[in-house]
This record gives sequence, structure tokens and C-alpha cells, in this order.
Amino acid sequence: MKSLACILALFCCIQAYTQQELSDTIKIKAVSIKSEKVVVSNSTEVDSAIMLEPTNQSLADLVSKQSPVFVKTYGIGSLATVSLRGSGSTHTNIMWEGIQLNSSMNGLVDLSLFPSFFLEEANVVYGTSSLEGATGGIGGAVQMNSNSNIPENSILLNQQLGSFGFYNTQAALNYKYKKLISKTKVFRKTANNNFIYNDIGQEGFPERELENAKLNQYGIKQDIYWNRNERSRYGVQFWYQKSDRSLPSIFTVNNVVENQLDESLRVLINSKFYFKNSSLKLASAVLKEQVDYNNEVAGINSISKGFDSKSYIEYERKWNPDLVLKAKSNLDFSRAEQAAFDGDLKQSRVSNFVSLNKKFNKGFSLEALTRNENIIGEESFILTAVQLSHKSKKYKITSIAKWGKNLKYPTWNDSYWIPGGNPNLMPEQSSTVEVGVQKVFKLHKRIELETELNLYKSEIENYILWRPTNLGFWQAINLKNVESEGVEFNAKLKSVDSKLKKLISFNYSYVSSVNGNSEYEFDQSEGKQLIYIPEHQYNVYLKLDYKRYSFSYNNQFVGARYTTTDNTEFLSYYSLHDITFSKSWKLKKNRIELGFSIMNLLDVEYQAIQWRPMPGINYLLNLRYKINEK
Amino acid sequence: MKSKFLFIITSIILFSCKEIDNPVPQVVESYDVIVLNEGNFRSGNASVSLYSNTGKVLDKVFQSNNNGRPLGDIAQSMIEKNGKAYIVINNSNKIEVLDIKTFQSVGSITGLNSPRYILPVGGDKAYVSDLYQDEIHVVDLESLAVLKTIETKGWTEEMVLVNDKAFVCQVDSDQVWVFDVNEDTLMQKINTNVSPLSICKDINNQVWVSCSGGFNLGFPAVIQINSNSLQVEKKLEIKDVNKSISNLKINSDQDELYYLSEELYKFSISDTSLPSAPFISSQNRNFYDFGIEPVNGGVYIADAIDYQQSGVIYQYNTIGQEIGNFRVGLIPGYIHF
Repeated sequence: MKSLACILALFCCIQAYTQQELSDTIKIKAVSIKSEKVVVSNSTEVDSAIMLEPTNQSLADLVSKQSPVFVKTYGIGSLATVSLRGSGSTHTNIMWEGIQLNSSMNGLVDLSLFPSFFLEEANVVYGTSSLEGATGGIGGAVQMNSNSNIPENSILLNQQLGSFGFYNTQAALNYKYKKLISKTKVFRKTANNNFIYNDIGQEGFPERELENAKLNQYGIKQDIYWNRNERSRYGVQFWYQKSDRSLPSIFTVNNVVENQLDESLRVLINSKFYFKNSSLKLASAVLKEQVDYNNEVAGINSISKGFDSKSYIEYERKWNPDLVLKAKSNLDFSRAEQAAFDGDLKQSRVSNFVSLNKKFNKGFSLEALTRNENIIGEESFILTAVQLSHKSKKYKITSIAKWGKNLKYPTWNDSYWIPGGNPNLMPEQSSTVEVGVQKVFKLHKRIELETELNLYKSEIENYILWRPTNLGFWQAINLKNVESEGVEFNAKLKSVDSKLKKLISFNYSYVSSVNGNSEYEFDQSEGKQLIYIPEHQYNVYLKLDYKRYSFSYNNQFVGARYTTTDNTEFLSYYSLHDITFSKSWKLKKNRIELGFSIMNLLDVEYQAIQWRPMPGINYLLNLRYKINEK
Repeated sequence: MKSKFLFIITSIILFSCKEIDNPVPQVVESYDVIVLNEGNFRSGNASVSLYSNTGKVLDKVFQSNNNGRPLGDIAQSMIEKNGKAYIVINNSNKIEVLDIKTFQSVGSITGLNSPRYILPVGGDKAYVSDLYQDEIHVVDLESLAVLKTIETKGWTEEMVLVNDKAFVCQVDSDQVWVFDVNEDTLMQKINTNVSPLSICKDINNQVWVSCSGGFNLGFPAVIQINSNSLQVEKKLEIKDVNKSISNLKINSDQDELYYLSEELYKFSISDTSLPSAPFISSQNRNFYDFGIEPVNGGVYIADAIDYQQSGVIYQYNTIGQEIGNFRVGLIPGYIHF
């Protein structure tokens, strides 16, 4: 109980601190949004087997290869942002243990900076289902969580050697002492990324080695849990990471030398209490991020510093199995320093979430949720959603219909960047309706096929865009209304017999995300697909385990992406194939595994972003040694 | 059912497997206007469009006539000299040199930082202004070599030559710097309003400079400088920091000035104030740049629309009536007659 009191005290302290900052908050024109809304979890969970694949280096790899999500990547180790359901990269919330990580400055999260080695659970939440975590996830959310498995004492050592000077050293230590659990993970990754490419920007298209693409990353993650008793659990998580990247130029730019240093520190304290018919979770996090961008040619040395303290209390109660209440209150404080702002920026937000799920007869259930968010000193809004579902036990089919609204508040860069920031921007608002069907087929005693089909339609109003002016700088404006509709289909087949284990997953998405209005007389973008949003993409994953041998295959297909809003220019589709062979040996209680991966097996020449070179066929050797594997 | 499913899947895959066709060389016959399409920053999609008075438009002439090679990143400006076009490719750090008839590349001037404008200053010598480097590059237009550099401060933009003096917009310094082009030395610094961007000379060899006012930093203005005394003769301001002035140009008779302030304005060199009403109203068009026909005085205005699609050039006659339009490439900017 003392611990509970401590955490409540911490929550109150943060609240008090936040209140002190209110007078410094920048005020902008208030806009209140009233709506009814939303939905319940509609998500794709990344399979744990996939998370261990050596070819999946980061969260960007995981979600792009294992879910129907488009990741816009600038190259190996370079910026990778996610687009869900045809929305922009700032419209996806990135959540860590229920804490939103999106930058207050630009709204982005670089998924390439989240090593998959540090992740235990990852899933993608679609559309208004993301409202349970936070507002702003118009496309959805990517969630990272620690699993609740209690590990045995063990040590994992992993060394990866790859093409283009790639080295990745990873180590993990799981230690359990009575009720105390410690999970420690460290890694160090370096790469030259100096692959050979045909420079189609130069006369004669000479072969060149990619320059200025080095990468140096390291990090440590420490989790400590204390399972005090069956009814209470406490945890502290510490995550420090540093990344030093050189940023290579595009084909048509010759002498730009850019470098970016990303440093992040995240500390999270949480606790969970279980009562007879309810549970209570408290979490409080401090996030510190710094990005140093250096461009020698332009003489730019830009330093952005962000500091956030975020806390929440989550309560869940079941009156009986048919009625469940969830309530969550968040209290966030954010501060940022950047020379392009007129002084430091500060902001406090309080938000409250309530959902009620009621099951009715004949398999029907109804869920209603609402989230109220108050940006203190600026504005407040209420968002709601409803979901009706039906579960047929006879046919093993679950059907879901959802409707809801969401809202994305302008980032600080959008509002206050000098030059070009626009303090009069309106929040982006979305309205989404979707229907889905889930069915599990039992094909054989040991073979199960899980399928899910979703159809959705959404509208985003006041879409914020930065566009150039004839004065030498870009400016943020509310320009467009965007209409998105699409289909997501996921299938996962699992087969287990005595010797051969099979896992096949397939994810496909069709996205039509079009500009809903034209501002100018000769504007031909109305009704046309947004740029860099592929209409079609799919991925296939196959894993076979036979005795101590393992084989996996991954195919990622990304359809053509338009690069102009009138859809007259586009980048060709690409289809990439990766394979991995591995064999493991059991040495008493230890296990050693040797794996060999080939990425871009067919040596496909492609551009993910216009005129940016991407690597051809490349290789990865993976040696894993686990001490005391159960 | 199975065959229907396969048909749908196959259709989807075929539809999404769009590939870019290799560009086919275009025969350049006669043309009257060159339009440089800037393209998007860091997208490498700058291009050249050619327009002939018969109404024919050729797009992506450089790429199609140079084996598919892209022109580069941000086509900023150009000059024509001795049968060659010198196109300044800002973010590709080079000046691409083309045969003006075939639009095939004959070389490039490299070793630049972030070039913006090029000004011939006598013989084969030319000055090149720069966005980032505290220097003007002195280049040889025949050997395509960088001869030397002249120290400046910050962003240098448009330049004009009057009587062996180069007047250079020093955007960051809020000044126009005057250089002796024979000695390549600084002669004088002339204070202006915030962000001098465009510059030209009139029939009397007076220099006219437009200052944008920056991002709400000061009043936008058009300033007249005496090219002999190097003193400010006239300052015509808009007393509103939320407005701006850009793209100052002069007609071929060198007695009427035009500028953009969302709409197109026109005034005489003898006027004592800026016009209150536009010469051509933009209405729901996004005027980005323009050019003035040297022969009949008509105006071609470039519309960048949303900056991410093919732009439009509008043709107006001397009294501001629209007489036609044609589509060009992405973000049409510099118009060369």
C-alpha cells in the first residue's frame, strides 16, 4: 500500500509541477470539437518468432514486413516513418508501455531507432482503436510492451556480421531472485552502409560506392520487476540509447555532408494492483530526447531538445463477465528547446478516457468510449467512438462494426517554427467507419488458420501540409481534406506436428487515400492518391522448424507510389525477398545457434524514396549463444 | 470461386506492378520560351519545358535527351550565351551546360556549394551567387572552371551588372554589396530593408532592389539605388510586415517594373509609391514566378499550384488580359525568352 501511496504522490507531484508551468503556455485560438466516437482493439500482433528473426533489425522492419503497414524509409539505418491507412507519418501514435513517444516538436518517431532486440511485444492498432492510448493516432498506433513472462536465469549473447561493414553485438541477462526479476539488454551496432549502386544521376550511370552513410548505435535497457504478491506488481524500466548517423545524399545531390545524433533517455515507473473484480495500473515516465543535426555544406547545426513527463492511472472493473468498465486518466507535460522557436515551448495536457463494454444475448456486445483532452490554456475537446460486435460460436465468426472520431493537434513545429510556423492552424480531425470479420478455421487437428478482413472509410479535415513559398522558406497550412478507404486482410496458418512446425502469415492492404478538395483553379489533385501512399502492398512470412533446423522466408511487396499529387509521376513497385537458414545445437543447458540470412535475394534495384539508392543483395551471419535455456 | 479469387489477386498484382518507362529522346525543333521547373527540394525532379508560339510544349527535355539522367535538384535560374544554356541547379551544387538547340549536356560547372544565380560580367567570366557559402564563385563559361571566389557574408541571391559594377543581393545582411568586376573586389555596402532578393536595372542605369521583409521581420520594399553614387534614391515600402514583395523584374524597355506580392503588380520607374491595385489578380491561382516577353511586352506567369504537381504557365497580353495557358513541370519558376 505504501508503494501505491508513493506512486500516487509522484503522480500528484508531476501534476503540481505541470500546473506551475501553465502561465508559460503559449495560447492559440481555441477550437472545440464535439463528436461521438470510437472502437475497440482491432490490431495485428507481431509474432514472437518473427521478432527474433535476425533480418528484422528494428521496429521499422517488424511492422513493414509483418503487418499491412507502409514504412517510408530513407535507407539502411536512416529515418523510417510509418503510414497507417493512408494517413501521414505524424498520424500514427507510437506507444511504449502506454506512454506516447511522438515528438512534441514534429510529431514523428523514427522507427529505425527502436531495435527489435529490445522489444518483447509489438502490435499495430488500426484507426480509432488507438484512442484508448491517446489522441492523434488518426491512422492508428504502433505499441511496444514488455511481456509478463517471468524468465529463468539466463544469458544471451548474439553477434551479427553483415555486408557493408555491419556489426551488431547484443547481450541479454535475465535474473530472478525470489520476487525480484531483472532483465538487462545491451547492444552496439555499427555499419558503413557503403554498398555499390548505379548512380543514375550522373552521365553514363557509373557504379559508385555509397558515401557518408555510417551508422553507430548503442543502447541499454534495464527492466526490474517486483512481484510483491499475486495482487501487486511493481516495475521500473530504464532505456538509454544513442545513435550517430551520417545521412547519405540522393543521386542528384553531390556534396552534401549531413550527420544526425539522436540521444534518448526513457525512465518508466509502473505498478499494477489486482482486486477481486478490478485492477488498477499506475505509470509515470520521464522522456528526454535530443537530436543534433549537422549539415556542413549549409552551415546548419540544429539542436532540438525535448523533455516530457507523462503519467497515467488506469482502472478496470468487471461487475460481471458481461459488463466491463475501463477508465484512464493521463497527465502529460512537455517542454522543447530549439533555436527556431521564439524561446522554450511548454505545454500541459490532461485527458480522461472511459469505455464501457456490455455483452448482450445471442453473442452481441456493445462498447462505447469517450476521451476528453484538455490542452491547458489552449483548448479542449471530446472524442467518442462506438463498436458493435457479434460473436457466432457456431460458425466461429466474429463481426465488428465501428465508428469514431479522432483529432490531431498541430505540432510545435507546425505552429511555432520560425520561419513558416503557423499559430492559426486548426487541428486535423478524422471520422472513421469500419467493419471487420474474424474467423478461425480448424483445417486439421494440428492446423489452424486465423483470418481477418477489415474494410474502412475515413475522412480527415484540415490536413496540415508544409509547402514552399516564393520567399525562400516553407510554410505550414491547413490545406486539404483527405478521404481514405481500404481493405486489410490478414491470415496466419499455424501447423504443429511432432517434427515439423510451420507458420505462414500473409498481410495485404489496399489503400485509397485521396485528396478531397482542390484549392486552386488548375489543381488536378482532387480525387487523386496522396503521394508516397502505395495502393497495394502485401507481405508473406514462412517459417519452418524441423528438429534443430530452421528456415524462414519473407517477401515484402510495395506497389507503385505516386510522387506528384496529380498522379502523373510515380516510383515503380518493388518486391523484396529475404531468407534465413539456421541450425542450433543443445549443449547441456545451453544452446548455440548459427544463422545465415540473405536479404534482397533477387538483388532488386529499387527506390523507396525518389532518387535514394537502396542496397542490393546482402548477407548476414548470426551467432547466438544462450546460457541456461529451458 | 477459387478461379475468381485468383483472378482478383492477379488483377491486383498486375495493377500495382506499374513500372517507369525509359524516356524517349525528343526532337527539339523551334521554341520560344524555356521554363525551368524547380522541382521539390531533395527530390531530384527538376526539369526543363520548352514552349513554342504554335502551342507545342515539350516536357522533361533534359532527361529525355540525356539518356534518362535527371537534371538535378532545384533548377533555380539560367543564362544563355554563345549557343549554350547555363542552368543553375541549386541543391545539386552545379551548373549544367547544354547545347541550346539539342538540350544535350556539354558539360557542367562543379565545385560549387549551393549556387543560385549566374551573372556574366565580361568576356567568359561570370559571377555565381550562393545560398550557404560566404563567397561568390567566379567561373569561366568556356573552360567551365571555377577561377576564384570573392568573400561575402551569408546568402547571396540575384545580381545585376551596371558599368563594370556587380550589385549583389546579400539576403542575410539586409544589404546590397557592390563589386568591381575587373578587380573582383568589394566597393561598397548599401543598406536595404530586410531580405533583398531581386534586383534589376532600368533604362537610366538605376538599380532597383526588392526586399521581401522576411518572415514578418520588416516592411517589404522596392528600393532605387543610384549606380554611380551608390546611394539610395528612393524607397517605396508596404507598411505591413505581414505582406511581402518578391520577383522584381523590368520590361524590355526598362521603364516599367513588375513584382509579386501574392498578385502581380506593375509600376513605372518614375512612380513615387507602389501601386495599390494589382495589374493581374491571382484569384485562386498560386503565382510563383513570371517572365516578361521582350518583344511584345506580354507577361507569362508561373503557377506552382500545390507545389507537388505539374504547374501551369498563364499568358497575358500587355493590358493584363489572359490569352492562353499551358502545362509544364513541377514548380515552374524561371522563365527564359
